[in-house]
Amino acid sequence: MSAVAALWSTSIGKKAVMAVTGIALVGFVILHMAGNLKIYLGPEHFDAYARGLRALGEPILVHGQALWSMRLILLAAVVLHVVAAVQLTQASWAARPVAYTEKEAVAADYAARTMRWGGVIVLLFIVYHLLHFTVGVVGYAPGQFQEASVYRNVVNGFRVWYVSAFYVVAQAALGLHLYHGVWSMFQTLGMNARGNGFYRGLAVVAAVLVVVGNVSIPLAVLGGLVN
Amino acid sequence: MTRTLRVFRWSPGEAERTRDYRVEAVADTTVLDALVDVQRTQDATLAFRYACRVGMCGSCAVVVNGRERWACRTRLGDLGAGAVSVRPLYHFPLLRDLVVDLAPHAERLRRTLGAFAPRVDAAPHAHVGGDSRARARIDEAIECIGCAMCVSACTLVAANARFPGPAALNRALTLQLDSRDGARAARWGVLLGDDALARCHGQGNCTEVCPMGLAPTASIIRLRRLGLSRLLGGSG
Repeated sequence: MSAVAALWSTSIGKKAVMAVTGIALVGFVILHMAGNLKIYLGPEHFDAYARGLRALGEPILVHGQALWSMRLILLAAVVLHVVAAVQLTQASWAARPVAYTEKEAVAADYAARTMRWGGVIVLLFIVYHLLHFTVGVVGYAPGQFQEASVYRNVVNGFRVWYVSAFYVVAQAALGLHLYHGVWSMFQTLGMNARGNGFYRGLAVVAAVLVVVGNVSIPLAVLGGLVN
Repeated sequence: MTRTLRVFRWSPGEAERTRDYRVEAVADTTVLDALVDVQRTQDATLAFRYACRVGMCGSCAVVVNGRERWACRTRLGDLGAGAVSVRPLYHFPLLRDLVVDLAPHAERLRRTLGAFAPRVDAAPHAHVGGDSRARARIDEAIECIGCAMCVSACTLVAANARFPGPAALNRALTLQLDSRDGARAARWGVLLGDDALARCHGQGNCTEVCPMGLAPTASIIRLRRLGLSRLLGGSG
């Protein structure tokens, strides 16, 4: 059996796959948030940044090649992460087919207890987010979405208060997922055998950075700071 | 000073209940001293287990004020004011009062091949120096006294009957790192199965309560690293 097949055939291996894909996804989310903050520099900078992502690696790569390569890698990471999560959840439920009549969480905090359903919310958010800001088929009046005007799309998108509210709620779910996930993935990979403090701190920093950075944008649009 | 001991009582055929006993305590009076006093002077039917009385064997492990402790090393004076609750360890079948059946503990150790099985080509006598690398790698995990407090504190043990629990996994680490052991491949089969290493949530309750100051959580994490390395074709 190849190493990859051996890894996938065990629960601990699937958890390692979740951890490694999790690291890739957390890295992306942090970079994505940092890029989003360019909106505060104004429409020219933000739209140039968006165009720059498509032109990344030119002339060695063709236009859009780097971006699409990244998208395919992220898609693969999401698929592996979700499939492993579903299979591990099924195994976990099978291990205790009869639920507790009474269950009181002692050491598991809210973030830990909501990883699975929180993950589902994050996944649904990603689908909406892509249809909203990447494809432009939801959340806009007909003809309002202009692919080349990314700044304008963000402002128009977030001016709809309930769309902004949904983004804020989704970011809270993402923050909880990151808080437990970042700590958990290092433990899965056997990297925090000596003390939890550093990895707990890392998890808090990652979650707070991403949530505060991302949530600031719809709030800035609704507050008129970005218009 | 008079203290109140609120003790869990149960015998087969009876309903579970707690009973309060008033005991005279001085500065060094331990929970075990108080239990012995109750048994000798107030209620000879009270059942509890102890042996060494000096914090070596771990057989007096009980849950005091909601936390696993050895009764012989827990001073009443360190438990604050108010009644002191004493109940048996969690996650074990109850025999009577504070006495639980530790057979499931032995069974979990058996399931994870917790006994040393010498390799066929192992030397009959091996000298492992106290300062050797082989010894240093297991030094932190080798001092387990088998008191089962960690099993009582582990919530996963209750969630999954097949989960070996912290003590058995801690023991497994010491054997997987023992070059003289001949059962490592078979043991990996158990450890990398669905109900062992993958199940630990890393909550650290076991490490919190270990009276020897061991860290079974860290042992489990180390085993995961070794196991993943083995799955990826490395040694282990």
